[in-house]
Amino acid sequence: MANTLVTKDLIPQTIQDIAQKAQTLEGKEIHLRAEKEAILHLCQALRNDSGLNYNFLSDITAVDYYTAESRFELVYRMYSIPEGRRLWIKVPVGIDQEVDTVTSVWKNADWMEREVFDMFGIRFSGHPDLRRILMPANWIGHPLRKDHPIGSEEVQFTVNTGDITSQIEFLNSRFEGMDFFGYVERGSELNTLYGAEKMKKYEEEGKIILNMGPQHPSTHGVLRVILALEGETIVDADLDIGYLHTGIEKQAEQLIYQQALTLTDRMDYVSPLMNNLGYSMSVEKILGVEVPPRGQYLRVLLAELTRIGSHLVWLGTHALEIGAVTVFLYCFQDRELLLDIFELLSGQRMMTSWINIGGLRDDIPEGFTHAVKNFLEVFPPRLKEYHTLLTNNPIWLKRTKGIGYLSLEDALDYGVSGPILRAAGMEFDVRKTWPYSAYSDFEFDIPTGENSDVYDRYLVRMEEMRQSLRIAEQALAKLPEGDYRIEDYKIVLPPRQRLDVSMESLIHHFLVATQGFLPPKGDAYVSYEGPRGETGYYIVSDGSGKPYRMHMRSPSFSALQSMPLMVRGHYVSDVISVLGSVDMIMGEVDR
Amino acid sequence: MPEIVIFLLIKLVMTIVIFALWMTMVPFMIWLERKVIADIQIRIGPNRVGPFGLLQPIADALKLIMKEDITPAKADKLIYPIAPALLMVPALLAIAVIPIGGMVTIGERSFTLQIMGEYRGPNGFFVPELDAGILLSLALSSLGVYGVVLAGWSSANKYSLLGGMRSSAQMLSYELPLGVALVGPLLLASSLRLNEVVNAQSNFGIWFIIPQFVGFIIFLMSGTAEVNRAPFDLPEAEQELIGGYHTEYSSFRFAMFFMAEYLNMVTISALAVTFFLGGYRLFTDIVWLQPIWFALKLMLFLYLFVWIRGTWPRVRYDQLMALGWKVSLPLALVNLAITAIVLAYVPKRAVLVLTITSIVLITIAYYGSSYNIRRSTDMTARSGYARRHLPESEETRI
Repeated sequence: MANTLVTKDLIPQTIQDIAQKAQTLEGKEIHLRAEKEAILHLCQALRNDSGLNYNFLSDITAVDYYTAESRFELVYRMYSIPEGRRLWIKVPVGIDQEVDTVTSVWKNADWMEREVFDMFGIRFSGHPDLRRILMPANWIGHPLRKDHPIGSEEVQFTVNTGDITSQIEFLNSRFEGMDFFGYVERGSELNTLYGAEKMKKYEEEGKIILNMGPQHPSTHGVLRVILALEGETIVDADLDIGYLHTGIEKQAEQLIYQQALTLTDRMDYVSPLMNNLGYSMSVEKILGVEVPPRGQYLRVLLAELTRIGSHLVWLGTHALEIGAVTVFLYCFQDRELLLDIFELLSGQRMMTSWINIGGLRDDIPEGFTHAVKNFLEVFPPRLKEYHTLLTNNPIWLKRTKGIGYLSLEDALDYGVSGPILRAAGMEFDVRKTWPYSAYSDFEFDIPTGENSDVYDRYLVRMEEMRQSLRIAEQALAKLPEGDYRIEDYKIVLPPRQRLDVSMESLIHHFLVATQGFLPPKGDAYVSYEGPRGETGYYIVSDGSGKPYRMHMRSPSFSALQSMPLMVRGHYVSDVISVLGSVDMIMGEVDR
Repeated sequence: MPEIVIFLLIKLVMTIVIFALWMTMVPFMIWLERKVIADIQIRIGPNRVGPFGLLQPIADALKLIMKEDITPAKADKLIYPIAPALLMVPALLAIAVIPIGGMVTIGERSFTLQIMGEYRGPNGFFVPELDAGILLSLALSSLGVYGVVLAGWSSANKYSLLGGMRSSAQMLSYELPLGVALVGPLLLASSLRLNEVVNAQSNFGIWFIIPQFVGFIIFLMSGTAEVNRAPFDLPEAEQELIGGYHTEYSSFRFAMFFMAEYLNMVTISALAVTFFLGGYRLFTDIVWLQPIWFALKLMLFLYLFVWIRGTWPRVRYDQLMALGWKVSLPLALVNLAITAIVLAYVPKRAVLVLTITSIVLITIAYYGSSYNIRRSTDMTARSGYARRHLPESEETRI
């Protein structure tokens, strides 16, 4: 089925096939290829008509096969939750061809299609608000196309001052004529589009338009929220992202696999080791290698410590934004212990890149176990202290209870995963649904909430920290002996001491360090449960030493879209608590 | 020299001294706050400038004054510059009625350590204490709201405007419970003069915090709201309004907002000391020691303000208003009514009866509010995992 192109006529039959397969191969992935005319009907059938209930759109992305006949390939990935079935649809699209939008099927397709449009220039007909999302509104070209110039900024010397000045003038000229909302006014078709119009209409109606961010202390970096207010009550909100867009996906295409790994640290920069894990797992899937148990256990241990670290940043900033400044400093003090552990491990505090393709960069050093044990001992009483400070605090309750309600249906519709989805009552956790690494060996529970408000998200994350502690304890107790990585020196660097005695090792070392390894052609996506939800890396290999395409499925990107829904009718102060409960990291939203 | 000149001279000297003492409170308060908050937050706090970082506030002030004074292009050219002064001046004037010590006798002249206090000269020269002492203080603290609102409005910044709006609503709503809470002690003292209130407490042999505990709590709450301190610091909530009404201000004008805030805090604490903690009286009646007792009690309140700021999150605008109108004001009125009735019918045992009633009242208020919070927050339909395990079982696990 993977190779035949599903056309409109074939949809009923395909649905039957899938339904049959779903009986037998539950939890497995199904791959489809579909014609672009059929995609909307196929998606509708999968979501609504058939009882298959693919209710969760994980991602829409595209790959530019520059030389192929139909140049682009759209990749749709959807799940049925809680059954845990996965489905991929690949849709070949030629240049200048339009594809039907699926925003009517899943709401979070909105931003995803905008991103694809922004990056590849594929237009989606019927999309309510098709404008650029990550790049500036007046950017020329579509960056992730293979023929888009990579570009660089020249370093200024006395000899080339003139050139640089003209470059700067050129760059500045691009921002001329942009209005308050960041939309270009003259001569562009973009200015007639929905988002800008919506806010302008509110302004004409006499609502106060309040611009929150990108330089606002509570937007977790550089998110811009445009609020339409009546008094202090929010009528509507519009989000503007892309201020932290660093083109990591484009950069990765220029680097060999091991180098691209270091970029993943910088995407979700409060849980860098988890990004390493996701990326490594995807590459390993293409390579077809299996990491030995010790490596897997250490990966799990490090990932869970990272999760605690990430949640500590969340708790600290969340409390800080609601006004409890002290909690912030307490959390960062505890996070310091974790950063010390990572420093002990790698010499680096944050961007460790320690989880590597094929296992770990190196085995754990002396004192690591002791440091982790110390943390596991010190942290539980501290967690209790946070509960004392916040959980029953009347002001905290009043500020978080009943705020930012998101119904389960909406949460699934918007592709929200992780703690927010669990707070809505859905027990969906990639670690349990599709166990990766060594997670099936561990005993832990998935906390869920029931009210789907800011307070429940708080409780869920607090409980998650305790569950992570449980996993870390088990991982440390059961840590097997053996290799911490695969011993295939075509993929990983040979041990240093062997270089002095073995010519072969020297050659391997040289090759791995300079040109990397050459994985077979193909693509892979492995998802993992990040601190913010289902995260994953989609990697396409063309057989060369560099990834042909690397794409991250960002949980915050989906969750952030539901934010206007959560704040409508609340007060300005509640925007802050809602943003805190979404816990987005702009580094992974903008990438 | 005519007696009137000597009177004016003494008052001038006293004004300058008290004024200077009060102004020194501001940098000291800033230092204290930073040190205490740092201690609460496991930090060190200022420790570079001077011993224990004591000169840090002065360095800060210098830094602020040296900075460029920026006026936004669209700001109101007349109101924007004077708004800080409108806040600062009432804050300074409010100290005039607060007694920091009792009657001092030098030769044949005696006077109280209070700027608008009593003065007795030879030959029957007599200037009484200001009759409407507390009213003046309250009136001046209400004037401060003009500074805040006008600053917010004239900055031509939406965040400032929101801050100004919040602030005006907040200060107006908390004026009432603040004033009503003070009527209880005033009834007990049967005088509006602050010196009389202090003397009444020593005559009763008990600080008014005991029979007027409800009033004290309401005063503390309203006072915190009145001076825009955490957890009621919404007008300048950094995390929401990026500073609120003083977002656009810089240099000395910003310093004036800053000073006014701390001065107000000191004034409110001074009022609390005067009305509820027996004022300047403690242990002995040696008059020159009394300012020290007063300062010690003041410290207690200032520490409390800082402590609260280090512990609690910020309430929301509408919740603040609800607290002001639906809880504080009715409670203050009930307290006032009870005090009046008790004083009218059992004046001999007033203190005892009032102590009992205030305990009853505060118990009812406590359980009422916690019931209210539980009712408004507990919507448990079915039990999620996170809820089942938190926070009660937390105790048993660890």
